[in-house]
Amino acid sequence: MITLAHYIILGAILFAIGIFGVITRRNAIGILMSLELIFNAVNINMVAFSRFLTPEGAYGELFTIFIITVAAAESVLGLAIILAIYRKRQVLNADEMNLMKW
Amino acid sequence: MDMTLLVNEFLITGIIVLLLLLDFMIKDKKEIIGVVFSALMFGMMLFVMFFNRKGILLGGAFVADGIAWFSKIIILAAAFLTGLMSVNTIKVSKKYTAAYYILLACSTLGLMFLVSSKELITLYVGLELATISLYALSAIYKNDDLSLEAGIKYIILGAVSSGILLYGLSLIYGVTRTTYLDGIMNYASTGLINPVFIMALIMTLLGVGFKLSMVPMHVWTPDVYQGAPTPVTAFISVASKAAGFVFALRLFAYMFIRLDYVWVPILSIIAFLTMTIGNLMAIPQKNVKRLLAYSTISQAGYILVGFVGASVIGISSVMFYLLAYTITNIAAFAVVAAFAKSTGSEELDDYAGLAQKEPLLALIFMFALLSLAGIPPLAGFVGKFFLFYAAMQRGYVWLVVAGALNSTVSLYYYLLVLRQMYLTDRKKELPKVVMPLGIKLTLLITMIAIFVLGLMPGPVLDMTTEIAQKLFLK
Amino acid sequence: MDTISMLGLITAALPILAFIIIVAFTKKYRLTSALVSITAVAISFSLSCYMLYQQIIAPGLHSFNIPWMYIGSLELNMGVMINQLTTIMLFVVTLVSMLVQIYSMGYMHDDEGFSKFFSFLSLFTFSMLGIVISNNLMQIYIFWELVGVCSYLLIGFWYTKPEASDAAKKAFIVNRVGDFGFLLGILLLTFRAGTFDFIKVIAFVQSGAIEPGMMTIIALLLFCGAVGKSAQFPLHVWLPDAMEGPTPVSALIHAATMVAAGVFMVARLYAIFSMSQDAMHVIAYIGGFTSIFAATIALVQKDIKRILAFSTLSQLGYMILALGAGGYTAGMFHLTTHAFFKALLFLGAGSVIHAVHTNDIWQTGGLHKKMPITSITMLIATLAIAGIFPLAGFWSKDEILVTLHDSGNTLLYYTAIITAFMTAFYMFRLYIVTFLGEQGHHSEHAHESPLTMTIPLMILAVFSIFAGLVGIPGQEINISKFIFFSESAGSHAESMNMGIAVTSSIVALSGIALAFIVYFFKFIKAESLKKISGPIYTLLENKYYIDEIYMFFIKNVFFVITEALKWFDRNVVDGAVNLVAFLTRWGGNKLRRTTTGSVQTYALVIFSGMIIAIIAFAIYDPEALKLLGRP
Repeated sequence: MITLAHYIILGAILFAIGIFGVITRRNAIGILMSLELIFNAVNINMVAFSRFLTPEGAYGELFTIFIITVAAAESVLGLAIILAIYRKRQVLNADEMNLMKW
Repeated sequence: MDMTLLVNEFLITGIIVLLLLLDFMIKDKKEIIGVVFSALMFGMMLFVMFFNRKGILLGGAFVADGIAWFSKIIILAAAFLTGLMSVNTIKVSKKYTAAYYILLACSTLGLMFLVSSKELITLYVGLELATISLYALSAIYKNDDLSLEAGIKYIILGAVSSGILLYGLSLIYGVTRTTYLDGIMNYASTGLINPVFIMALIMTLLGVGFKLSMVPMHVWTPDVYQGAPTPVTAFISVASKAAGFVFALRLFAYMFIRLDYVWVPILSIIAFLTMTIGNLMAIPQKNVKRLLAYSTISQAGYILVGFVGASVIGISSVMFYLLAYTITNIAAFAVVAAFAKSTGSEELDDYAGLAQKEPLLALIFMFALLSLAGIPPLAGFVGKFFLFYAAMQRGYVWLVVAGALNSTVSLYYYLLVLRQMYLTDRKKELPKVVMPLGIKLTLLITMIAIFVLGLMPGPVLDMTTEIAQKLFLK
Repeated sequence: MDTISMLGLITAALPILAFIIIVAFTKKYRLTSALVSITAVAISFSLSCYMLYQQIIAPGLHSFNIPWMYIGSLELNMGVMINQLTTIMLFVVTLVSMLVQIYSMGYMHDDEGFSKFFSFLSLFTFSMLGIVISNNLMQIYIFWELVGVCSYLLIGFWYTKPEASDAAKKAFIVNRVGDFGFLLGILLLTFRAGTFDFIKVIAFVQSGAIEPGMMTIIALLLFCGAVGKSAQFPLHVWLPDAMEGPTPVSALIHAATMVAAGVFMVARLYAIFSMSQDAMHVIAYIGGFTSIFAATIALVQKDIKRILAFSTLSQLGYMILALGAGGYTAGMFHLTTHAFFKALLFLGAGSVIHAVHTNDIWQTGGLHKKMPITSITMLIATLAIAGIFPLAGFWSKDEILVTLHDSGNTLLYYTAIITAFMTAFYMFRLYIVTFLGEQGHHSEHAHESPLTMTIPLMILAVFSIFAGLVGIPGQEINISKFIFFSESAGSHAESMNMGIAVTSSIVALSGIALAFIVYFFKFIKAESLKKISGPIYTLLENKYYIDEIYMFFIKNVFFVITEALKWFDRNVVDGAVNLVAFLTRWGGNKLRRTTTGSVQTYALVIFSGMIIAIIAFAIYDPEALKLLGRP
């Protein structure tokens, strides 16, 4: 039997993997992908809560649809900027994008 | 359903469409779009000011109350002044000029939605509409390494913070089973608090903290502020921050009001860290925009001191300071924009001897910086005074002492800038600073506002106090 | 709003009007700017005279309030409060400011920033008048800060000199340290009393509603403000450096504005300070220490303006000492007389510098013949500051000594006596070396200053002679009947304590005599005498032997002490100020290394912040967090 707790734990694990990816992936695109994991962790939470706790209303699902939309927009913009940087400087690694510091 | 409450948002949407059409019609003189944008934003500001309707829409998800009204004025004023400042200073190609203003308008629309929202989904969508537009705006100089880098850093860290925020919100939803702030407030008022809910509260606080550039979410601020086009930096530092603070007010001073024993101590420590770290790191900076970035971090710390303060006076002082801070910061960034436009430099060393060459510009910069430092009789002094007074009411004497000490420290680096301008001789020849009409107007308006707010804060203060009181009336 | 308080408002408003006119319209016309500024302050001066006269014939309190803003139940006003204390301050400030401005027409004649200088002087005068007429704590604080800003502008007026810009910054920042305490004191006081208004706050305090410990803390915090502005130990470091500004500015700062603000504030809030005996003791001891400490340093200085600067420190210490020992009238009286002769000394010094283009007294000499007016007026001021009968300084110093004697604190009494001795000594050292004796190599081309500079000197000389007469004990018109604090009304006015008067005169005269022995007769050189008269030489040598011992004593023992004090001042006190600045910079530099520029480090900071916050909450103890404040 899969309970709410299973979904929440899955969400938490995904969230942690996402954080780990953001901190450790060198490739900027990899970081964007890890960010998607974080958003999906939230989506799982939302849908699970909605299904188990408020089956009468679809707040969680509604929220999820917005999150997916927004995350897509963010990814598009992020990829566009990464592409522009790559064209200009042939740099893809996040730790090399450090012209500004201190 | 009184849809007239949404009239402001509809009008802004109309403006966005209009700007798109203008882009097709105008072939050469693209600056006209900037002028039109500024004029329309000014008109909108007046409209909002005088068309002050109060009410609730969409079952409590959208609300037009005093706080929303006041912060919409701040946001539109910031948009108007940013537009004015941009007209002759931005260096984007003709192809993208319209896009620049359209993005600015989109961001304004998002922020206006944000301050009116009392429901988590609406809040989130408003927040992201505003922020994504700003991501694009900060990377709009696509041939400039710094601008692109600012954009990528902003987007990654922004997404990280909205991830944290969303995770917190999902937990809040899970615990309270509602996304309406009033419903959540009812839960928070029962007194039986689930530990998960407290964790969600902390994550939400940090997620919101990104917009406020509050420690430890401040890390993006200096890089983005330095790299983004100066008018965009000004907009991020005031409008986006003001909306963020209103968001935070709705969450903490309203929704979690009963849980103040949890967030007030946490926030007091964060406020202390924010102002101290901001001030200390500003001192060694050599780039003026970066210096101002750290200065805005410390300013956020002062505003958080007001959050710590007692409810009505606290909210009132925060609202007042947001206004004072907005005009002051815009003035400071307008000077930086004008200087960078003519000389191509943002380095502090190049400001040497500015007072001899451009006495007026230097004088205005001095007033703006002194207002940020909180020197009477400028707007910043009155604002800071009320923030500290509010915290004092709650007995946070140590925080007030720390705040006062911090403003003394901040004076040190503001004086470093003043010394460059007034007391150092010019080392290399730089072109004369040309002040376009837009910049002149911006500076004129902000200077008048700084002095008026500093000398006669009474009416505005009465207004913010009334707004804060009404928030708690049922 | 009655006529008197309206006039008070106009008196303060005129200089700011002049400032606005100069900045907006007449900046390009040098003479017009000066005239606008002088006319404004002259009208203010005549109004002050009228108000003073009105107060003499009909003493009373005149005030009015304009509501400025409300926050919660707290009311913020802008207002005017005129009483005896105010009118006497208004008189002194406007008079000195007017004379300094007239003088500046001559002194700053060739300066590029002539108009700017006058606009700053007007602004400075305005800020000081604002402090004087304030009727509430908030207003006094605002003008207090404004005075700080003006001093920054004026001390750094010749900003191309690096010393000037450093001195300006130092003055501003050191003052901010004091102001910080002052603001905290104001906030604490207001927080308890629920109002800023002087009268209401004082009534609240006198009702005994604040517990004694808290009262002492509040009084000491408020006193911090005076320590900064009136340059008391240990925040005195800015004043000697402030000499880098133009000399008229020094005169204004040292005589009537800035430094007087601190003393005035203590007098204005005397009712609050007098509620705490402990605070009064601290005030008296800080004043006493500053006075003797600064006097010893003044003994070995050779820069004419520095000698005067340390003498200001010493005299301010005197005033603070008097106030701390309960001598309300004495302190204010000395403030008034000191304003005249110190302004005169500075303007005279400016006249000398104008003529010889050096600040070093050893490079001048014999200026008496070249500049008779300057010399005579300086002599009057020197006699006055030394406390010679019947000049102004004698009466006010006597009043202070009587107060100290009556307070029964022998330590402070003898401190004051010794300081008086040293004051007479070093002031005459200055006078003898500069004006008498042989001509120094810088004095050859010296000539008397123009009339715009000498007339103010003469007017101030008149005041330096006669201002003390209002303080003659037993007179019908007497300052202690005019400004007094509750029970001490007219206590010393009835009769004169001849013993103290004679003591102080003897002390002053012996100081002067010693100065003559050491610096005047020194010019009879041992070598030349030796050639002319072999036999008498031994005798003379013996005589000089004593003198040499004395010189040796001064040079080696005393010099070491004063040098040590100077070293202490330069390195420890200054060092502490510098250390704080250094630590802040160092902290900033270390912290900025955490901003590595890598977006992943930033993300790491964010996540660790989040985790720390959550863990901190997991081990969260509501009781412990209550220590931070009242949630």
